[in-house]
Order: sequence, then structure tokens, then C-alpha cells
Amino acid sequence: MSVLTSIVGVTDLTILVYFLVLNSFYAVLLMLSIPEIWEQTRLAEDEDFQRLMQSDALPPITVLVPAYNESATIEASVTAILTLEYRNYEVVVVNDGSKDDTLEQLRHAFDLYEIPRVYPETIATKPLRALYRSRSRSRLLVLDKENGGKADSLNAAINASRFPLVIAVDADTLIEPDALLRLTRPFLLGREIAAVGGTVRVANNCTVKDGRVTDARVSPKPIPGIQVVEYLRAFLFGRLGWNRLGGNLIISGAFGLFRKEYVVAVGGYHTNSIVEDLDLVVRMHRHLRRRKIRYEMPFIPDPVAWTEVPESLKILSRQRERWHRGLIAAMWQYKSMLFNPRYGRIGLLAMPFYTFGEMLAPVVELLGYLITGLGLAFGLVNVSFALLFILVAWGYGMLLSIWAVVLEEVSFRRYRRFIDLVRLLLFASLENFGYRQCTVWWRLKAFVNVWKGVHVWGDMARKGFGKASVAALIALCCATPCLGQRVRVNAWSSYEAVENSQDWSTLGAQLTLASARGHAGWVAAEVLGRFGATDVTERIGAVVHPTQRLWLTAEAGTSRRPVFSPLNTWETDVSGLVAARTSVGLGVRRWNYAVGPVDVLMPHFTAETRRMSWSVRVFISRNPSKRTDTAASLRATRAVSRRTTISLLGAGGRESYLVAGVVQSLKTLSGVAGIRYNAAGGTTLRLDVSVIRSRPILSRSGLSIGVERVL
Amino acid sequence: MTARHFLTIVAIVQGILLGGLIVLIILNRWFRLRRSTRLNPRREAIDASMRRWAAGTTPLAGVLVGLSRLPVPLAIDALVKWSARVPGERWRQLAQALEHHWWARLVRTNSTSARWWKRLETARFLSVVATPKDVNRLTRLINDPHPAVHVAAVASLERMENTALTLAALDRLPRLAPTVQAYYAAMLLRSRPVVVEHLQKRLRRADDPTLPRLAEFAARLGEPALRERLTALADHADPEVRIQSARALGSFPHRESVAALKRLATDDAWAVRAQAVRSLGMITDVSTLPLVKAALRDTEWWVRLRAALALMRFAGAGRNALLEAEVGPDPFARAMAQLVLGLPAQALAEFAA
Repeated sequence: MSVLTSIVGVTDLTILVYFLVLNSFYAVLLMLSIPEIWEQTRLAEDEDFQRLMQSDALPPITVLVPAYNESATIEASVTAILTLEYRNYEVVVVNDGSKDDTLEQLRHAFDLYEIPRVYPETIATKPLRALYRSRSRSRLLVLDKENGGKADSLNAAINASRFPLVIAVDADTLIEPDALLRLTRPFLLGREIAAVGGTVRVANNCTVKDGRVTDARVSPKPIPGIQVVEYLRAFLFGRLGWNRLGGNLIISGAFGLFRKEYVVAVGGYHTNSIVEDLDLVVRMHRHLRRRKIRYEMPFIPDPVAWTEVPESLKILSRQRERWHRGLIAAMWQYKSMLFNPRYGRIGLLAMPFYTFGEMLAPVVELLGYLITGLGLAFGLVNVSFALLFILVAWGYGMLLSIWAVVLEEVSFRRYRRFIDLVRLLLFASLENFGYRQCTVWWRLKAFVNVWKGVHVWGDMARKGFGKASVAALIALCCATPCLGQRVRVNAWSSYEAVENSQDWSTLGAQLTLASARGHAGWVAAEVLGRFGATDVTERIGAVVHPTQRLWLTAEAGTSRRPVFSPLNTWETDVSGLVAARTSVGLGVRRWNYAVGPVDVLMPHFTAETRRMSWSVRVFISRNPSKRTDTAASLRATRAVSRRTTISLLGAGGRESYLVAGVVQSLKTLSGVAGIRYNAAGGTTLRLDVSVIRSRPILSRSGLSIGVERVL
Repeated sequence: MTARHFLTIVAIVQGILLGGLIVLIILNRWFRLRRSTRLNPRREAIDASMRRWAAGTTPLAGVLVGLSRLPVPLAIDALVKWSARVPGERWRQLAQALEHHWWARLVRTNSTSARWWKRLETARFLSVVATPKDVNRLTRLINDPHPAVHVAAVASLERMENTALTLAALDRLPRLAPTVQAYYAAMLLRSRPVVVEHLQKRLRRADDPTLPRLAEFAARLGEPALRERLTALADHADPEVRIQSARALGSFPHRESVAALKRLATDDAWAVRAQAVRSLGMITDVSTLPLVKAALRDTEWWVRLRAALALMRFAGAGRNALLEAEVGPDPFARAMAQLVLGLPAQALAEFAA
């Protein structure tokens, strides 16, 4: 218990210090955003500057528009971009190997004709198929190329651009007519600009006419409504504060103006990056700092682009998970800049903030919740103190969000209606109750996905555990025996005859290393055979006893050729002794099939008497078709002699099984009878007979034998 | 103090701040609504006064009273708005009357304020109602470090012809962005003789680090008196200066310009060659046609593009040269000729700009 107390105490203190440091920094950003927004608003309203912006000597800009399968909206989007209020600009649209008729839509709408593919290819891209100009719109250039992704399309557009400034715009983003004019304001101020970012606002529920937002409204739905507050906080408060600190690390990919020579100097957008805009900006910082080139990357709040945000939790979760995965990848890739004085404020301020304050924030937050829960469960943390801490933490979050609303109110006031203001305040208050916890969860998933090597947009790459890792672990376990350790080897085999289908056979082995205190780790491998095919699954697991009464189990498994087994499995269990011979616990299991995951919650209860033990387990599972199934099992074990025990298990309910590539919910009734014999020399023999009645399919009966030897 | 006490204090302060912010937001809305309700009639009243006074149907006193009833920024806005609509002599009367008005004196004293937005107000005010007594103030504002202030102040040159102010603006000019330079050029039109004389002297200083920017500005003016100096810069050691010279000479169809451009068309720096070829296209001296044709085979893409666009300006001879190149042996020239020959007129004009 003292160990747990120490762990809880130290972790609590760490989280408190982290909370204080991070929120103090937010307070600094908040303070700095005030004079910054005052200055920016004043400059935006200055009429002489507005007159300047009518000049034909404004720097010429190329607007880069990557498009993939945008046939429904491409004409309206490009038309809107072609009518921006700016004297000297061109638009380069890249059709990135669309599978729909995006190119045909463009060809028809803008009277395109093919021209020779003549431009300097300074950045390597996928092959170009054709280059088109428009007879009706002289500013427009269209590239048709093989599919290579957004970054590749942007690089191709940069190659074809004529002008020294480039701005990447998503095809579905609505830019305000004077946005380009406003974005060039820093250039008029005589500053050495490498890149400029504008504000991205939420277009959901706004009135859009001819590709322009004519009436800004806040959505009454909580998910997009809260995102309005999030975007205000990120842009009006966060980035304005960073302007003063000189450490803007993010120029939004949806709306950012870059100096082309610097983009080309760093090799353009990286095609293997998940969040290419962040990656580009960090590389530009690194390049310019290394060469000691004077530059700025400010954020200007008044140029606005509008974008639709996800309205469902599913799509939002994917988006946030991807963003965080990109942040993790970028912070890891450029970790040499962290705390490196060579990179000035970027290395000493911005990178540490984004690493510890943004990237690791969900980990710390989760730790906070876990430690608080653990502390409460074991009486180590005072309930009222914990509640007070949570109140302060959430209150601070609310304060920052409402401050963003204040900045909006005193500056641009896009939301004129009082009801929109009320919604902003309401969503700013509600954000911390549920929504924030969801974003923490999604961002934590990003860590898992990075570890698993997930790279592409939303697809799960089947990596699992490599052969080498399991073999190395086995070798390690065998090669380094320690005092007080016991080594246990299991082997088993089973055969099940399935009604009206192929029979099922398995052969497996497990190596367990256990310490005198009861901690153990194991690796196992199993070969499954069915339908003439075999699959090999590997598992690795561990059980630890933080206290004498508590044990935590975790196991992970992966499948080599998951034809009829999950891609990978995860299981954790927390169990504790509640009385001398009674334990309760909760297990969570996930089976990741190719078609989707099956999550199972397993509360369990075990009670022992002198010769018998009873174990009840409940299975609450949720399968990819969003169905929740319940099953329960009861096992009774009895020692019939000093060396022999028999067991009976009865189970019933609904369980999820992969059948013909689909996870189905089957009604099952099971009975298993088993016998164990502890022979001399530490060898145990096992025999189980099972009968399972399953509707509508997979009724089976089987036999299983096993041997275990303690070395 | 224990952690619990600390957190309790923080929670209370947060609660107060949260409540305060919400009240601030609501009050801000209410205040703005009241303010616009109060000020809109006054704005309309001053517009009406200005209209009547400009027509000569009402004395100036009514305008002065109306201006003094508005907040200073709104009064300045009204002055800027009406400065373009009221004839010069009547406007000078207003400027002289404002010299002694109490709020105008207050605005003038802000020319030395530590706050840039106050100095901006003064600059905007003086840009439309400055008198000869304001020269020193305006000089200080034209030399102001804040860009918005000096941009506002230089607008006074549209109304005031003063050598000191003109030279102050010219001294600042090389350090400005091209767009601001263009704006300055427009403001300095009234003081052209002073500007040209000053530039002639400055363009002689070969070691002046601001020479490229001055040459760029001189080119923008298109003043024939500056041709000689710009031609002399064609032999400068700094490639940036030669670029500006090459670009400028396109506006001066003179044999000396052509001779200089011929030299620049074979310069080591590709950017110089590109500008030279562009300028040769603007002058369209037939004797330079072979040189421009040769530039179609340049190693640098931008030079080839400029050459092809320049050839299109040589009318029939240039077009023929492109058609020959389109089927010629050089692949780069072929591709560029195909590109440019396929461009419609408007695209050609935009490319050539």
C-alpha cells in the first residue's frame, strides 16, 4: 500500500506542476493576445492601408487548389476562387487522379484546352498527364496528374506556379473575397515574411451563396457548435499570442500564404507526412534558422476562410486522431530542434510547448483521471480535494474559451445575433463536460496508432508484433533466468467438430516466467487450422501485483494471416481480493477484426471454499454492427483428491463470432467438463470436453488436451 | 497555505473572472448598440453640413460645430471622406479654421505620442488638413517607425508641395516594400521635379546600398530625364541593380537603351537576362530580334519564357521566329514556342506583365 501511496503522491504532484506550468503559459498567451488583436484590428480598419491594397503593385500570388473526387463542388469552388478581390493572381487546380468526373466538370465549366507540359519541375511529383488552360478564364491553369495525395498535388502546383507567393487552399474551403488582400498586409508593413496564416472559421449553419458566406451563424448542434469555440480559441487567442512570442508553428493548411522560394528550398510538401502543413512549417523554420535568414511567420486574424467541420463524432474522431498523429510524427521527426538554442524561440519555446503542452497533454490528462480514480478507490485522495482540483481545471478551460469569445466580440464580431453569442457562451461552458474527454481519448488513440505504425488517413495497417520481437522476447526469457523466478511451459491441442461446417483444430504453446512475488510474463503462440488454411497467432502478456490484494493483467495478441481470427487482440484485467477467499474484477477485451472491432467487458466474481471454487463471469460485448450482446458463465471446480480436480462450466447468452467475413451475434449455450491431474515433478495434465450449441450456426463439440511443466 | 487553500482561492478568482467576462461581453454589446444609436445621427448631421457648406449654402461654423460633436476618430474619418469631394480653395479654408480649434490642437499634439494609433490619427488628420505650419510634424510622421503612420503621413504630399517633405519621403522610399513604393510614387506625382532632381543625384552613387530600390522607383516614374542614369546602371557590379536597370530600360526606346539591353541580354545572371529580354520585347527594335531568338535556347526556363513572350511583341517577324522554333531542333525552344503560341491574348498580356 505504501508503494501505491508513493505512486499516487508523486504522480499527483507531477500533474499539479504540469497543470500550473501549462496554464501559466496559456495565461501568458492570453495576455499577449490582447495588444496583438488591438493592433491587428486597428490596422485592418485603417483606410490608408485599404487604399494601398487597391494597388496593382501588390505581390502576385498563385492559389494552389488540390482536388480529388470533388466533381460535386469543384466548379463552384474554383469559380469562387477566380472572383477573389485581388489584382494579380493565378489559380492552379490539380486534379489528383480523381476517379470521378472532376476533370470533365472543369473542362466543361471553364472551356479548357490542352497546352504543352512546359514548366520547371523543381520538386519531384507523380507523373503529369496533361496541362490545361482556360479560354474563358485566363488566370486558370489545370493540371491532371496521377494520384499521389494532397502533398504531391500541392508540389505539382508549386512547380507550375509563376508567382513568388503561393497559397494552398482546400477545394471545399470558402475564402472571403478580400482575404488575399488582407493576407498581404504584412508585406506592406515591410516585414520579412516567410509565411502568413489567416483565420479558419466554421461554416456549418452559415448561409452560403455563390461560394461566399453571407451570414455567419453558430450551429445549435453541440458538436459543430463547440468546434466554433475551439477554432476561435486556437486562432484568436493561441496564434495571436504566439505572434508576440515569434513562435507560430502552425500555418493552417486550409489557408496559408507561403513564400515559394522557401517552400522549394525545403523540398516542398512531404508526401509521407500525415499533417503536411505542420511538417512544412517546421521544416521552413529549421531551414531559415540554420541559415540565419531573418523571417517572420505571423498570423493575421482578419483574412477569413470558412470550412465545414465534422458534425458526427465518428468523423470528428478520425480527424482529431489524424491531427494528433501528425503532431506526434512531426515532434518526433524534428526532435533535434527541441530545446535547441540554435533555433531560437522555435526551439526554446514553441517546440517544447507543442511537445509537452499539446502532444503529451492527453497522456497527462488520462494519467490524472486514472490516478485520481485509483486514489479515490484506495482512500489515498480526499474526495473533496479531487473535486476541487477538477473544478479548477475545468474552470480554467472554460475561462480560456470564454476569453476567445471576448476577443471575437471586441474585434470582428462576425456573429451579430444575440442568440449566436448565447450559443458561443453555452458551448464554451459545456466543452469540458464530455467533449474534451472525447478529444483526449481520440488523441490517445493517435499514440497507439503511431506505435502500431498506422500511417495512412484512417486505414489500419496490419503490423502487430513482428516475428523478431516475439522470438527475441522468448530468447530473453530463457537466456536470463533470475533468482526466485519460475519458468512454466504449456502446450495444448484441441479439436472441435463443427456442425455443417469445417472442423476446427489448434495447437499451441506458452512460456511463462513468474517471480516469487507473483508477477509473471508470458509469450504464447498458437496454430489454428480451418478450411484447409492455417493461421498463427502470437500473444504476449503480463500480470503484476501492485499490492498483495490487487493484480493487473494485460495481454496483446496478433495474427499472421487472420482469415478467421482477429487481426489483433488486446485484453486487460483488474482484479482484487475483497475478502479472504473472494475476488472481483473487471476485464476489457478487444478483438480487432478486419471488418471492425469487438469490444467485450467482463466483470467477474470468484469465491472459494475449502474444496470448491465458484467463478461467475459476465460478457458484455459490442460488435461492429453496433449490437450489444450479453452472455454469462459459471464455473465450478472441485478437488476430488490431492492431485486431481474436476471442473464444470456452463455458459449461455449471445456472443460475437467472425462468420464468413462478418462478425455475427450468435445465441450460444455451452457446457465444458474438465479434469486436471498434477503428476509428480511439477507436471500437470489436462483434459476438457466441450459441447456448444450455437444458433444459427457453429454448433460444435470438441476435445482439448494440455500439459504444463514447471521448470 | 495548503494546496487546498490555494485551489480554493484559484476557484473563487476563476468564478469571479468568468462572471466578469460574461458581463463584459453583454455590456460590450449593449454599449456598442447605444453608441451607434447615439452617433449615427451625428454622422448624418455632419454629412449634411459638409454637403451644404460645399455647395456654399451654409457657413463653415456649422461644420466645425458638427465635427467637434463627434469623437475624434469619427471626425477624422469625416474629414478624410469629404476631402476628395470639396474643391481645393474651400477645403483650405476649413484647414485654416481647424488650426485654432481645440480638438484639432489636441490631435496635433499627439504627433509625438508614444502610442502608434494616436500618431496614426494625427497623420490621417494632417494628410487632409495640414497647413505650412505642420511641415515639421509631417516630417516627423513620415519618418515614423510604424508603417501605418508613415503611409498615412505621406498622403499629405497629394495636397502639399514641400521640398523637405518630398525629400523625407524619398529618403524612406528604398526601405519600403514594392507596393508601398508604388503608393509613394503616386503621392509624389505633384512634386515630380524635386523627385527627379533628387533621384538623378542618388543614382550616381554607385556604392549606395539602396540603389536597387531607387532604380526600381525611378523605373516606376518612367521619367525621360532619368534614362541616362538608368542606362549607366547597366554596367553596375551588383546583379540586383542590373536587374532593375534592365527592367527600367524597356520604358525608354532609345539607341543607348537598346545597346545596354543587348549587353544585359548576355549577362551571367539569369534574372538579368530575363529582364533584358523582356525589355527588348517592349522596345521591339528589329535589330535585337536575333538576340531574342537566341534567348529561346537559354538554359534557364524563365529566360526562355520571357524571350518567347517578347517575340510575340515583334508582330509578324516574332511570330515567324516562334513558328520556326516550334519545329526547330532545340527541344527547350520547341516546348516554349508551343506554350506561348497556344496562349490566348489575355493570358499573353498577363504573362508578359
